[in-house]
Amino acid sequence: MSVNEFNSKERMIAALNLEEPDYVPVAPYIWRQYIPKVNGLQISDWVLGDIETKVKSSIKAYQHYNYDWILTGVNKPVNWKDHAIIKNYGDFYEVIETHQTNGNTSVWKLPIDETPPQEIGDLSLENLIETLEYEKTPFNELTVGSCYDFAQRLVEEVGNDVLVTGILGAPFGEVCCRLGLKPTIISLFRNPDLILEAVDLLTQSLIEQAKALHEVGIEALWIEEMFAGTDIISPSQFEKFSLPFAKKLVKELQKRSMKCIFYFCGAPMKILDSLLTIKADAYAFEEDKKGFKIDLGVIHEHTKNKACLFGNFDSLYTLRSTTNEVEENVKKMIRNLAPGGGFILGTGSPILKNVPITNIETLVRTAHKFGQYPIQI
Amino acid sequence: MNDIGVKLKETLIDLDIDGIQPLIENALKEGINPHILVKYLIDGMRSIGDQFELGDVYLSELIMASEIMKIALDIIKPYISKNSRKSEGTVIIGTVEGDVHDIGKNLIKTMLKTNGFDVVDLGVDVPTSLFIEKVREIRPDILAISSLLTTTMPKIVDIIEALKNAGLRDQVKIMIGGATIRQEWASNVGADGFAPDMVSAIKVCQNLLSNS
Repeated sequence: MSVNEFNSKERMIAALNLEEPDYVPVAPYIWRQYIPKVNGLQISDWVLGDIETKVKSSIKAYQHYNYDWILTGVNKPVNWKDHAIIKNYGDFYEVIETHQTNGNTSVWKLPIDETPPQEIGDLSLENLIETLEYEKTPFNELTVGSCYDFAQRLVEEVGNDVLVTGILGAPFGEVCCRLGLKPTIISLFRNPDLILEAVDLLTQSLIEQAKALHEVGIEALWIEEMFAGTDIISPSQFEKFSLPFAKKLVKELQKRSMKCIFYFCGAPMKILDSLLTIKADAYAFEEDKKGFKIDLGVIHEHTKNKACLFGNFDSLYTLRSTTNEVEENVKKMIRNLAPGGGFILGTGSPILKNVPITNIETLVRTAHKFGQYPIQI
Repeated sequence: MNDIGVKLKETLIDLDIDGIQPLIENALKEGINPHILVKYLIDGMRSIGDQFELGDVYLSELIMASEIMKIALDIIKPYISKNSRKSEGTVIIGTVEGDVHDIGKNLIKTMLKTNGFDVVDLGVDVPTSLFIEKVREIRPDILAISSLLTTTMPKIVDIIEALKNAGLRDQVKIMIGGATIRQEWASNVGADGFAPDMVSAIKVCQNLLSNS
């Protein structure tokens, strides 16, 4: 195809297939923390908003910036607010939610316009295993419950032109979210067999969720492994409790021709070779933080011709600095990593609401200007 | 170091969470000075901390060691008179409002306690006003503030500003920490110290007090 004959979706697919598209695809991590801002909404408007609000605002953000993907995920049942009490306390909402699947009630705090605290569970390990056994639902029953409407509507609206990508947690990280990180870590030492059982059950559940996303038209998944880096667990713990299940998940999804982008949060350098045995279609990493360095040049040497690499543009500091800084760092990243294809310009972390809109515009504009193949910066 | 000291240190280093309780209880029954036991435990934690700095031990192992330490100290605590030990200083610690991360904070709390500091833990999601109220009430030597999220980092600035407005800023040293914080940012916002991890937090606290 000649220059600019690729649409966004084709551009992303070409990069994921390790080819050179017309120019470097841009896939910033723009999600619920930032989409509201682009639409003049508050974060709580998005979280409490209906499916159409989410669909329209996601598309509007994509059209404003002209990047190359749209993220989506499993939504709450469309009538979830019928089973919830929502109280406004001025700068936050208190949400008392009764879950329709199991009748349990959870209480969570939703700031009016800040990123909601991550929901961390407090189940015991035995209760978690029991819950996961109870929650086993095949994918074709999952889609009946309207939890995939957000994904489906996006695919219907723009799926031919842009790569609508589903967000999914990775098994080990999901166990950490359900149990709490500290209880999970203690259990790695005290009850390793039970943790393995829990991670395996969660893997099966995630496979069914991914299949349900595929049923509604999702062709790519962004799989987030949040707690398996060596800044938290040892390499041997990663190999035992995270790696085999991530491999199983990716393998099952690739059987359905789904593109798997493995987003690894945390320090990866000591376990890079192991990570690559997951054989994801693409890998994404955080920016430098938490006291560790991520050497994307070294990673690129390992992934070249094997997997697509997402750039980890620093969304914490650089993306909040000057437009000149943004432009220079985009050019540097493209110059070092894009030649030959198999590269997508992403951000290391979700973009937060205090990032100036002009800086994201600069990010995308610079990639379009200097990222045309063959790269000639 | 005698047998009990060696065994205590090994129990910690081996992360033998089931072995610590009988070991401590037997040692106390045999009349071993509880302060000596605490000293051996601190030695063990320092050893693990050194290995962590070298990259031979990981956060998961630190967390486990901290859990064992907590069990041990809870058993020993009734045997130690509060007045019998000299406090290195008083630290108030908490995670800012909007942030519920606490693993790093809790590790630092454990290390501070084992190194002789008195620690008041305000928990997580702590409103700025509560930090100020407790500084006014308790008059700590150090206020240790944790923020793991970039969205909640501005709360640290709010706390420092609120302390100034309350006329309390000069009465307390401020140490901050969290995954996304860098030394440069910490200096720019007026913190007295920055601790990127548990091990350095102790040194930072000790330096802050020796310089004041």
